[in-house]
Amino acid sequence: MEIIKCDNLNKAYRNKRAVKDMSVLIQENKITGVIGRNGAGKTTLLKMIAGFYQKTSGQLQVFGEEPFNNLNVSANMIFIDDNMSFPKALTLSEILESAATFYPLWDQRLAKGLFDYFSLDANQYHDELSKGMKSTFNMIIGIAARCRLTIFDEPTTGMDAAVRKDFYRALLKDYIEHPRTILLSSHLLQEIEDILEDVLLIKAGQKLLHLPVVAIKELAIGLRGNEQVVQEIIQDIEVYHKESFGVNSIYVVIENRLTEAKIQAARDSGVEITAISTNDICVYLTSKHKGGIDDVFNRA
Amino acid sequence: MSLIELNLFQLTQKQYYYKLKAYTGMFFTMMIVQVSALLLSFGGVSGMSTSSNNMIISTDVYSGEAVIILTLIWAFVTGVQLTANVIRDIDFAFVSNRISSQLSTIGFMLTLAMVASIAATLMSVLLRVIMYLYTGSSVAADSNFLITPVELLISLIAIFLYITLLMSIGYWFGMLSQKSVFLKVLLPTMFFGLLFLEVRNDSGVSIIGDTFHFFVDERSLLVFSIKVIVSVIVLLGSAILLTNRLEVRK
Repeated sequence: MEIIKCDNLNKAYRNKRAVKDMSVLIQENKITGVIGRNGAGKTTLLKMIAGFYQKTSGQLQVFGEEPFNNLNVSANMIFIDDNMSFPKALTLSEILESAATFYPLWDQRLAKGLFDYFSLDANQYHDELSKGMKSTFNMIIGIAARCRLTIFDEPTTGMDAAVRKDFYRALLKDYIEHPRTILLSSHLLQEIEDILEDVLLIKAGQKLLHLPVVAIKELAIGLRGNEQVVQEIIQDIEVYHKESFGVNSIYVVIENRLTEAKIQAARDSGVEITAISTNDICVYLTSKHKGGIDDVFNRA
Repeated sequence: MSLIELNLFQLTQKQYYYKLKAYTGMFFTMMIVQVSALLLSFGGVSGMSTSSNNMIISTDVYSGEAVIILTLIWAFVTGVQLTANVIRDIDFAFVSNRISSQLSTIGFMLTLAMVASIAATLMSVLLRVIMYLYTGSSVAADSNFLITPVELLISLIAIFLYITLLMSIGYWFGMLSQKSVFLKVLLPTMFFGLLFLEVRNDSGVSIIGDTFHFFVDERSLLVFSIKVIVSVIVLLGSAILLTNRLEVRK
């Protein structure tokens, strides 16, 4: 069953189209990573799904209903980011108690357990927390609320590496026990790759691809070798990334379309063929310049 | 997993209790305002003394007016404050929609108005007791010194209605400012502009003056109540309707 259905969804701000003709289906009980560069439109898309922002045009349905300002969607959804506002006068434990009153499936034992594990102080105020601690606290709310649709928008901002790892592990463990639909946005695929099933890659407001994580690895391959030889092989194949180094040597990442015979021929002529990590593929695909940052320096 | 169903009333109730807990500070602000007003009242609002031959008669007038006036200013400011973005976003951290968020805020506002009006009424009694202890029994001769329970109740109702009215005006201003930056500038400008215009006698404009007299000159409590209740419903209702489609957590 589809939990989220977008069809030609658009969102325009005063002079910028943040989301362009997005058509996506998100199936129930899947963990989907929403990946894109800064300003790609991840947050705008997620906030439209959460019902905070109004769409400009197109279709958007969450649990079969238009999400904007919708009570049913809100009751079954939680949106976690690092900008969450909580009352200044309430301590962290009081906030957790209040959260429990809003979510019938709230697991107070789990919340308390995570709270103690990350050594948060029950009598502290949310305002006084450091950036990473705030994210940790918000994340606890997001997991313990057990909402049927759980959205994390860049949840790990400010967290240190150890906490990030624990967070993803906690999320995965609770997900296995209590499956739900989870959207996780990040600009870094690397660290969430292991817990994701699907990836929705966004570039400049548009959907670039929506595939299972395992399928992304198959999208591209890398070639390294003599410039002329490589150029010949990659004729009329899309190049995602190009880097030159040394004398006459080049490294390219291309669409994975070479036939077995061609690959063998390339190997024979001394070109090294490499697999590309999922993260790198996403980085190359969302890059604006084929040569990356090197382009800026090579202009002269 | 089936969908959780929640009706508007249940949610509004939950948010109301959350707000009572979260914004207890607003009750304290009110107490501070009223106590400071009470302290100001000790000086007396006006004094007069006459002497003839060997006799000096001095009259000091003490009144609870300062408490009421400051409470009304507080009420307006509180009404505006309750429309702050952060208060709205706190609602939207958990389950909420615009209407439940606003209804629970209005419920909280009315609770504040209730407590503030009871406190303000009691303050004027307290002022009398303190003045009695301070100046001795001479004040008791004054006709306004003793208040009957019915008078106390009438003044309680009137103060509650005034506070609610001022809070609703503040809330309306705040909500409309949220709707657009243009209104945020336009509304205060129009208010003060009209005020200046009206002060000049020859201008013939008297919108704010007329509105003021519409409420203040009313002698019947029933008619006054109806006027205030209708105005409050119009103000709050229009605020809810006009801002129901605004985006949140920007």
